[in-house]
Amino acid sequence: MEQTKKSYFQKIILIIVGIALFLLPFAITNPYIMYIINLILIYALLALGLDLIVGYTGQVSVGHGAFFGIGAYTAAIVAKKVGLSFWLTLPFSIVITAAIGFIIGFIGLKLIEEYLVMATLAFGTIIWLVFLNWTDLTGGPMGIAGIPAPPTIKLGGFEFPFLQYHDYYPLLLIFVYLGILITRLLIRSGFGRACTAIRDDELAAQAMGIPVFKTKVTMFTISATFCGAAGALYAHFLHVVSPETFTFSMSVTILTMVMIGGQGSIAGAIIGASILTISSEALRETPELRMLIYGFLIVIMIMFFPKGIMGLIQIIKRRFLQKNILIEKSSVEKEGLGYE
Amino acid sequence: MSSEKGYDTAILTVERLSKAFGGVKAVNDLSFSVTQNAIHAIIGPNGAGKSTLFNLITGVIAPNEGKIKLFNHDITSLRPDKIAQYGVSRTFQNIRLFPDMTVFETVLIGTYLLTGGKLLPALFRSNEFRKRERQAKDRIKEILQFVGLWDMRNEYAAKLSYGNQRRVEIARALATNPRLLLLDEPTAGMNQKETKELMQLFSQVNQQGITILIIAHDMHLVNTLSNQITVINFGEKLVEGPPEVIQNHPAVVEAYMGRAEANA
Repeated sequence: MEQTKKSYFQKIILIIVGIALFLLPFAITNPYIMYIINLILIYALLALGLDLIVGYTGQVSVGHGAFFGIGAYTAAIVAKKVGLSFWLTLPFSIVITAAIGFIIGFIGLKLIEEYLVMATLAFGTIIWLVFLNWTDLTGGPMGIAGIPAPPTIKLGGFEFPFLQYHDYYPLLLIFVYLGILITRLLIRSGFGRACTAIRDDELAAQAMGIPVFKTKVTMFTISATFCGAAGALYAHFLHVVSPETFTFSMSVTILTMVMIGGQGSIAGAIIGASILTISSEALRETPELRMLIYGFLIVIMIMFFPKGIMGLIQIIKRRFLQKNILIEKSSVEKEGLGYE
Repeated sequence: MSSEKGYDTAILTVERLSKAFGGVKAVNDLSFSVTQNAIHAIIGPNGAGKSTLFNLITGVIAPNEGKIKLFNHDITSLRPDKIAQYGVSRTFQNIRLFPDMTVFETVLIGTYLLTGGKLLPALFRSNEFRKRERQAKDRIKEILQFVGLWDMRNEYAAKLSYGNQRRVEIARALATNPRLLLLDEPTAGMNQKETKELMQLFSQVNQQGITILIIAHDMHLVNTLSNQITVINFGEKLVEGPPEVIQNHPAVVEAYMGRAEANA
């Protein structure tokens, strides 16, 4: 089953669809729908980032909403106080989230699974409190408004402004493609394989010469950086950042996207981001209900579909093709043989 | 002992090694050495400290006292991945495979030391990166053909028969290009045919110049396969020597059968 090896035909179709997606704004006239699509792209980048550490490396974080926030606030502060444009605030956001991601990863990943969850939870809460209370820097509960859109790009005779939702879309799409590309390149390398080995069996991975801690911290940092970049894009897209966006529930939302779409899958992250963005827009009036539903969904997913929608699709595909139905008997076999 | 150069050099030296868990001395003042190209067996009754010894050698746990040397490098208390870099690889008593990976993918993990985990070459797909990836994949083909799993390379490793799962584990260990291979009861739970086939595999591995340190219960296997045996009991060394000497050694008979039978 070399499912990862796509045929030329499939590759060409993917490329055509990829290019065709740039034409989407011409088909959509309603700016609100365009706004939702843009949000999906930002969330897709967040989910891709979180999936790197949760799905591919097996380390659960419930603090990635904070990295999103740090990226957004860094861009907002640099743009407003220093007066730099998006093209310069973005690298700032990336560097700052990478640095903080490294520090949090370095401290948090010394801990085992359950404690990492608690450490990231604490981190997320602290960052939110900083946004809320460091009024001089962050504007407190009011946040920072008036963040300028990225300056218009002039290429030959053409002008590419970023003032409207329709204009901003191609920029976001490029970043999502970049995120997908980086994810693919990393996963199909010694580093990415080391991550999946750690996820599956840390002890065996280490016996193969994989430096477990270093690999985890590196991936955590990259993962935080994805969220930082998404934050900068978000700040310049909405022109305003405020603390209530970057609460614990943001972290849970991103995690739910990864879980529902399917951990360790690029398509899964994007599907999860799409479903949750649309549903949270639909449930906009009742945020309490939203969290209740997400919590319930996570439990259902973990219990019955640990690999999410993409896992389900694969199972159906395999059944359909009548070959290689995965039988989970090995674990039973292994448990049958005790210690000496 | 042999015409081959370097046969008698010690590849691994364990000096006065001790490890206690609470009040229990799992390994107690244990010293022995493994000569290069040997198939060295560690035997002993249940709970004698054999697996603890392996975990100490591979760095999974740190000893309370003593030294472990690989060639002339002190590897005592190094991290497992560092020790793997020195050329030590292992299989586990309870087979540890990666649940979601095919045979090929599983063995590919073993080539980490060859491909490395650097980020920039991976992101830019440098020539060096491509070369190493190609080398790794060629090497896996070689290894999988050697252990007889090439035809099953695209199956999920965890789906294979117990005997073949063990082969995957051995293939993964070989992919690290080890100088010393540690096998922790590799034939436990296998039928006679599987055991015999694995024994053949081990001597073939050994013929490639890989020193083997093996924990085993099966006395027949130990006597046929190994050329040096260390018997341990209660974490201490009882006796050591070639199979002919060990087979009839009173201390060994006593440890295995009890005193009464030994006298009988």
